[in-house]
Amino acid sequence: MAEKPGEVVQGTLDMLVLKTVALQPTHGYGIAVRIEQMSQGVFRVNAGSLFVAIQRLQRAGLIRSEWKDTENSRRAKYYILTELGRKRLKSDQRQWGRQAAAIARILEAS
Amino acid sequence: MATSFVRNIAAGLRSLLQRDRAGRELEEELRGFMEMATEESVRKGISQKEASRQVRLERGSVDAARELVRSSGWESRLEAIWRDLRYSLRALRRAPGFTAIAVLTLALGIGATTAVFGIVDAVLLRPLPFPHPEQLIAVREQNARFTDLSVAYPNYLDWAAQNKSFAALSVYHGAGGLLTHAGTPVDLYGQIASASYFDVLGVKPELGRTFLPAEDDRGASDVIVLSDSLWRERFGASPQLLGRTIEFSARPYTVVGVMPPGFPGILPAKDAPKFWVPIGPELARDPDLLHRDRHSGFNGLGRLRPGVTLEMARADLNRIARSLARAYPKTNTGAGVAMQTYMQRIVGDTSTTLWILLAAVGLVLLIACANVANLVLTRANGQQRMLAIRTALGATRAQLLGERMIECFCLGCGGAGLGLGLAWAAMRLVADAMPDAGLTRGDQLALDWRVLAFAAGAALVTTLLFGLGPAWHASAKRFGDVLKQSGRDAASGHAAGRLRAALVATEMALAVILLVGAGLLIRSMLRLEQVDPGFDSHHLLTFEIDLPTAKYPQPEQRQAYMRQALDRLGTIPGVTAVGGIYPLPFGGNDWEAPFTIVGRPAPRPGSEPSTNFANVQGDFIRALGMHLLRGRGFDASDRAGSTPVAIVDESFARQYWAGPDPLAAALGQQIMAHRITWTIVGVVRRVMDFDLDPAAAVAAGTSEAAMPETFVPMSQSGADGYSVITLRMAQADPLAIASAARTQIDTGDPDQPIDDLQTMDQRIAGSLDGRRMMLNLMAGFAALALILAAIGIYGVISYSVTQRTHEIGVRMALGARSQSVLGLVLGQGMRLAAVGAFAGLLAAMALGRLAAAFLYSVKSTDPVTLAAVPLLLFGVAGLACYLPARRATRVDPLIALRGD
Repeated sequence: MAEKPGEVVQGTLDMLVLKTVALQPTHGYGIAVRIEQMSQGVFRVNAGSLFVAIQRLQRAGLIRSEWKDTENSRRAKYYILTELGRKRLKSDQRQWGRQAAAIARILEAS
Repeated sequence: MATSFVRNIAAGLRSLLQRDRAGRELEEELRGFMEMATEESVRKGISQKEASRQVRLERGSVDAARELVRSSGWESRLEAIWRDLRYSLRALRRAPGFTAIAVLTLALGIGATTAVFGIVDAVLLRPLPFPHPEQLIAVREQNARFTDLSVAYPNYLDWAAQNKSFAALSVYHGAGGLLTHAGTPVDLYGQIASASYFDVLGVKPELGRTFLPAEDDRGASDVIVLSDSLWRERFGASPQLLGRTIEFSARPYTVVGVMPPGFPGILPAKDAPKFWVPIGPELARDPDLLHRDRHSGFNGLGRLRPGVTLEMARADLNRIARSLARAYPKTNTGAGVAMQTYMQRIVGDTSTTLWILLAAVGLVLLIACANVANLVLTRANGQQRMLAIRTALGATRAQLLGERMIECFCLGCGGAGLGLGLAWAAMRLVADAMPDAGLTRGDQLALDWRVLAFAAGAALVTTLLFGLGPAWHASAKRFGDVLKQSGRDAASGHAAGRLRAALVATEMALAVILLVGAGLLIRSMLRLEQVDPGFDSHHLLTFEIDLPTAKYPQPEQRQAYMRQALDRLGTIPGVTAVGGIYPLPFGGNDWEAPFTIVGRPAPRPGSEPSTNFANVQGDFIRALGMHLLRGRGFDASDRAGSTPVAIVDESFARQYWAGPDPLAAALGQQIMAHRITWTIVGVVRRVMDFDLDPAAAVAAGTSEAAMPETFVPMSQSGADGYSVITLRMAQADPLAIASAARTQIDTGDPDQPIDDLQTMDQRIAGSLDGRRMMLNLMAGFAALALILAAIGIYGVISYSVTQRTHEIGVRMALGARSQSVLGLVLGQGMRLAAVGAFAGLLAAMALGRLAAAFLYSVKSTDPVTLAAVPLLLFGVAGLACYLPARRATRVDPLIALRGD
């Protein structure tokens, strides 16, 4: 699992980023903030891991990017989910659900 | 997914090629990220400075993030390699001595190996220049006594008619012809071929046509197909030549076609056939060819049907052969078929020779690798401190290993590039010498893709071999000791020292193997050169005369010509005897025929004894320097019309007559051969006819060991149009009278050329050409190996002396004299040489068995060679170690003791 408390394991981070972008196209900082908010503070994403994950997802064709202006008239790269990404998110969610349920069953066994 | 892979590659390439833009974009994005985070904190009430610090702590710094993102793409690894490459090249440039020696050594090794592989490729690996060459099969006959017999024409006709395996089957054999049209008369080599020959090979003529099936029949007229080179050189490449007649062998031939350049492309250009004539007219001129027991040199060549294998075809033709044996028991009993792929027939025995040579030069390459490995080790020792510091700063073993290997890779590339150039030059040189060595396709050496791939592969393997060991050793985490050291390697030196010593000992062992191989070949060659061929080969001039039957149709005319020619040649001053013989000993031909002894029960068909026939004229016994043991030679009374007489050799007499004096018992006996009854009137000492090594003749399938010889007068055997004239000189060099001989022949008939003028000694030496080539190459490799090994041991001992300067200083300060220091160093070197020599001798003895076929009268464990080689090695090693040893004695103890 995570090496330091609060950090997200690589594969899971990909899934979380996809979900975040699926909800609404955002820029990098927006993704980090949203993950933090939605996890109620459990996950704090650092810049390095986030952008590595974004580069990975982009190269796999799961998200695409666009330079746009933010509310503060600052230029930022916005990330949008692609059709491929949508499919991948669905399958990742399904798989994660199965794994989590299995782990829970094992842990609760007496 | 394939598309994401492509996208990955594309993105990486974009990032590589537009480094600046990609970097700027990332930078901008990261800064934006940090600023937005900072703004957020500021909004919460924290000061700007404090906010930035917190953000940097929690989210990471821009630089760190940028590095992380950059290095996660595959292109960063590529960039790292490119950086290392440039760094390695700079480092190598700063050490020119090391780089030069390493690259040169590698170039020698890779170049030599690639050159030999080029030969192997041209002769053995390259497919034959015909469509689907794997379908081409060479067919010969075999019977109870001979494993390789030429094809009897009627047998071929039956095979062609009844077989189910071949799309086409043909026969051909070599022929000579005299071209007198437009220019000086010249003897040419060509082929008599059935019409299907060109279909089998699958080559269409460049101009005109090849033969029609009707031209296989006896009524066919004389047509001729020319080779491209003949057409160009002799006839100016004139297209009007088609349909015209030219005078050839004193007959008019109609030119019907010209073959494309390079056809057939198997023999070197100067030995390739220059013309083709159909079989039909030959059958008309020599009806004897239609006899089933006449094996006069035809080779069969067929193209398999698709899907048919060699085994199936063999079974098919053998089935036909068996039915022929039942139908014609007198001639075909026990007669079968001998089949191999056309490539195998062309290549013959040379494949073993070539692979052995490739293995030998491979050993040279290994020695070169070992030398370069030692150089790399030495250099790495000098870099110990640098590597230790880098390790302490966090470089991983993998990184250091990678950098070392990239440096070795640069050396390998340099060596390979230079080596390829050397190989190309060497192949140019060898291509000129090749045709004489009798290697087919030897004149087609080229750097084709196989050779280039081999060179690249060799470079890769050698890089790994010489690079990996030292690189692994150098990148080990031993930095603690090294940093503490004052610059001399101690603990790390031991492992390196052992590795160096092991490498040198291996080099010595490999050099010994090659030296033993060369030594055995040299001894064999010396023994061969001393073999007595059974006649006096010195002071003997020989040349061939081939009388065109169209010009001299009657036997009397031919015999009269020959008689007069011999008489005229006898008048040349200095000539002591003149004779003629065909086939000539060492002429590369023989003419065997079955025979029966009159008065003895007839042998079963298929198991008649055979003898090698030689047709002679003139004073052949004295001319050849043979020894008459009993009875008499031929004289003027033995001519056409008188009792046919024969002279046999002593092995013939001993084999077939018993009693206290078999030679005398043979006199007066009669044998029947070629449908003539001969009376034996003389017995001569045995003459070697094919090769100085009888085993070679057996291996070539052309004769059983010690087949007896029978000599008959040309005038009586009817084979009187072709003769090799031999002129014996008293003392002088036979070539001195060559022009005089030509003049005498011209006097008789100015249009009659003489061919293949050589001295007998030249012919015999020529029979050793193949062996000599192998010997020269092996000796060359052995010498190269010895030089490289000497350089290797010099390097190691020299370095050792440098490392032990302190120790030597101590010894000398304690009273050791120069002698003992010399002994110390020399002893170290000689010990290495001894270990290597011992290992090498063991290996050589084990491998010797493989080479037994190439040796003549020398055991593969020949004690003389096995003793001489180590002595040579010690001598050379001693010389190589002497210089460093002397340097050791000059060490000034005071300077050495003062320290580093």
